Amino acid sequence: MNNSEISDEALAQKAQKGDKEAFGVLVRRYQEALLRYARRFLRDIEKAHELVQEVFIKAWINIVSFDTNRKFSSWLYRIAHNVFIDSIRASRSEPLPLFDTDTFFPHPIAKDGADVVVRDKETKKMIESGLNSLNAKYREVLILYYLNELEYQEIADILRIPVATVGVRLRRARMALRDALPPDALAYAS
Amino acid sequence: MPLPMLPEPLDNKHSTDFVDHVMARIEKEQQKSRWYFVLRSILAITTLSLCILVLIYVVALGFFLYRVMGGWYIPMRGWRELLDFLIAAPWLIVFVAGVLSTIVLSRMRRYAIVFRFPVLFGLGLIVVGAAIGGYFTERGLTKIRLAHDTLPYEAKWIKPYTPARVHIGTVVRSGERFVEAETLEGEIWYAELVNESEQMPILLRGETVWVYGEKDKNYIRATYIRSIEDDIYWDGIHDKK
Repeated sequence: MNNSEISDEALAQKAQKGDKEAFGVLVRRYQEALLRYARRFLRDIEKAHELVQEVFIKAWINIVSFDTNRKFSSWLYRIAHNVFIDSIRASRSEPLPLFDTDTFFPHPIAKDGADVVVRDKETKKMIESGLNSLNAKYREVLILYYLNELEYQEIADILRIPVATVGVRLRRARMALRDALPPDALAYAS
Repeated sequence: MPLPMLPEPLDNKHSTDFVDHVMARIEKEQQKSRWYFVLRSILAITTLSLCILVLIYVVALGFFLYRVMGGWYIPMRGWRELLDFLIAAPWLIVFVAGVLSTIVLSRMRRYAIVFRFPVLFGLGLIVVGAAIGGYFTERGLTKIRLAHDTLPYEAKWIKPYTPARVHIGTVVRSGERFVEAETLEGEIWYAELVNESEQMPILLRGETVWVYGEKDKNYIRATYIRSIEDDIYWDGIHDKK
């Protein structure tokens, strides 16, 4: 079977045995998504490219620790999240709270109705235009959900927060976005 | 070496450049071996287990000191009693247990099963677990205390506050509404039960008695008197004297 037809997890298993070609396929598959995530989250295109390279190097060095029964994408995104957060911390470009109060209390499952979760081009455009005004906590969840099109469960696994907290953050992020955007942009989105 | 500025989305050429860059760097990097991760996991689990054991020990020490100082027996029937009960708590140990619980929780949140719950649930679970574990471990501490007349680690820096209204002694003689007892230091006091709604317990000579009330010299106006049927006192401190 050709490498391009093999699942991520099977490729990762090959990479665990030192197969660089298999890992190369994974790099090709995820480069675009991770670059999109990095550019929007870090707001620094140059740094984004450098850090995404770093993510893949780290993934290669630590690939043996990946459990092939789990989802490769979540594992890779988790590494990316850690690398990006470390970079924001090191550069002190924006404040990151030590404790996240959103994860402290139980929340009701805040999964939105189908009418709100439309991830169409207009919504994405509106989100992209307002992203820079949001803080990292809310910016990241919006990017992962709307632009990288990950599911609640996967985002929860990447950010290590309860699934309900993902919903709460998304809702708050949208509210913050609504406050930040001019009314004509909102009309365009709705 | 970082890549030059890339367009978005990547065209074929830039995409290939990016992959080439990554692959070139991978050539120079060594994968970490399976043993590295196995040893790291063993170390993490050992550290976590030690933290949990220390936490349980600290909580057990808290229970033990609370009982030794007599604060544990205060009946909470009014504000004054409640205040004395709270003051008697070994707060330093409660603080240490709180710090340890936070450390355990932060370490445990690396594991998927824990981060799916809100922090409060996780912390609650650890506190309840430590309280139950500590309560039962305290029995073990008591036995060690009885056998060696010392705790495994007698922390001299812990100065639990014994409430001024709590008095403990060995019964010398007792009557219908009074008891005369001797403390570990050899002081003899006389306690009279002035609270009419309280029943005087039957006290035997040599038994340990716990009295709650205002003390004036060697006389105590007691609101509560109770016999302590507790290992710490029965065969321990007082009998050894």
